[in-house]
Amino acid sequence: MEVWKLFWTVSLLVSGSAFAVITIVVILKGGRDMRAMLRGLKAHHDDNRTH
Amino acid sequence: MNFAAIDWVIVVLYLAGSLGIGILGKRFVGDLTHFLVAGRELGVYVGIATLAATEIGTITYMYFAELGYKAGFAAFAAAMISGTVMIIVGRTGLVVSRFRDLKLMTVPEYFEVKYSRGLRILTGVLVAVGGILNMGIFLKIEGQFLTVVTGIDSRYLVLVMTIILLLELVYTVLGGMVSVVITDFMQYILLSVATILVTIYTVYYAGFGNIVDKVTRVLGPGGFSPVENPRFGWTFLIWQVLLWFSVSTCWQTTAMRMFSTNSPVTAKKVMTWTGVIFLGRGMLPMLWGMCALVMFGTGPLDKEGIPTPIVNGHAIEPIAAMPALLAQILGPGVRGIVVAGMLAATMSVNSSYLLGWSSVISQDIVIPMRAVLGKPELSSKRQILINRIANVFVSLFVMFWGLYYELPGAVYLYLGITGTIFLSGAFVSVIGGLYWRRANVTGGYAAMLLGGIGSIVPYFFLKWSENITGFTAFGLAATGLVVGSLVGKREAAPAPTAVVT
Repeated sequence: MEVWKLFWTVSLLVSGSAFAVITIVVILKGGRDMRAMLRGLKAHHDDNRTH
Repeated sequence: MNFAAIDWVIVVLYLAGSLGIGILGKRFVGDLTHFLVAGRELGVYVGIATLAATEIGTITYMYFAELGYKAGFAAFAAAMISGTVMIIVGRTGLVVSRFRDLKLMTVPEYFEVKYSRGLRILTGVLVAVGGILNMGIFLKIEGQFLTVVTGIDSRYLVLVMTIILLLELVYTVLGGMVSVVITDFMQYILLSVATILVTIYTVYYAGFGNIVDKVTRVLGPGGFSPVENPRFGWTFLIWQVLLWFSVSTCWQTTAMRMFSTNSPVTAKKVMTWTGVIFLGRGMLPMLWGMCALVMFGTGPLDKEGIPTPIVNGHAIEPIAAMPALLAQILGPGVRGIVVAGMLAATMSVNSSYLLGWSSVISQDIVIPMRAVLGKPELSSKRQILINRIANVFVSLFVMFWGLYYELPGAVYLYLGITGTIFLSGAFVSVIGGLYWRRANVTGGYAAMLLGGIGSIVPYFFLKWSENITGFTAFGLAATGLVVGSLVGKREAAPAPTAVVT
């Protein structure tokens, strides 16, 4: 049981930290991705209208 | 009422913001590809945000907290399996990169590419039925969370949930996947902040040492070892591995994110990093459930030896223990942020699921049926219209099912079984179709039918446990594919260009 306790404690720490770090990275870099997506969609949209 | 004025202001601002941003998405929708897969323009970071937001809802927090309350740290095994399997799928590209290469929009569409139009329709029906039944309990559970945390009179619950469903429906119907992705990004930020806040608060109040002590006293070794826990065991672990391989690859809402990425490489990266998030997505709410066990687990033991939660002298269900804990420990302002975060989680899941299941109804049932009946092909605009009507239909069903259906047991296991109805056959057929040349239409039909029967009959009629049922369904589906393919006539697959819409 002690091995399981240690294993789950370490897993929890690693998972919780990773959750927080990825959230920060996604917030910081996601805006650029979003703008690129909307630009691409707009370009297709305008293209469809002209054809 | 537990809510202060500041909490209401935060929640109303969030709802208005979500609706406004969601409606903006309509400006970017030009054709069906935009509506269903966001023009396949998703980059890595937005992809991670939308996939995580799609699969993290208030329902997720509720069932994982319930599992944590009942099974202690042993429940972490479910989170560990889901995250690890997704990382493996992401790293190897199993199914997801091949799917992305094919430029699909729905999972059943693949069945026409590899097998036949008839099998696409059958798969579409099974996917839609299983998926909508699965989603059918969301509103009820989410409503339970809101009622307990905010202290809203339960008489107004139906009204509150209807308003939330209508808000989601408005932007999903108008902007499809584009609106869903834009709102998902904002909702992901909010729900993540709420998750971190709740974790800090709950562990601070309960104390990590107390959690370990309580789990040890109540559950013994079974509170830590998933093998020794009577709820789990090896059958559960193996079923979970199979289930999560199939969810990561063939679950419509997850697969739609893979179809929406800008390349197969991006799809793999999104899956890998979301897998890491999935470890916390499971473990953190399970920890909240254990905190609730520490604070409220003082009542008489149920038949499984779990103490009934007692809050202010009243016995409540284990699933309501976590929201009751939040209602007690969160102060004004923080409670508003957390509820807004949970609403964000709710709306991101529900809007994605609405779009996912309605797209299957329109693209894999209605449109192929029209082709079978010899009717002419529909324009992109008409297909979007059918999708929007299907969206409204799914919403109405979800609302009524959620109000009247009584859950038979643990929510997590119910969701797993309703998913297995189609996932067992779909996963086996997709793996066979992609990686085994001999797989054919007969095998595909046998896999889908035996997977469905193998889930429904043992669970609903023979009253077998979820673990054994899940295991049986996957086994029967695999046997069906292999035997059916070996016995059936070997035929050439239809030309993909004829079917990819």
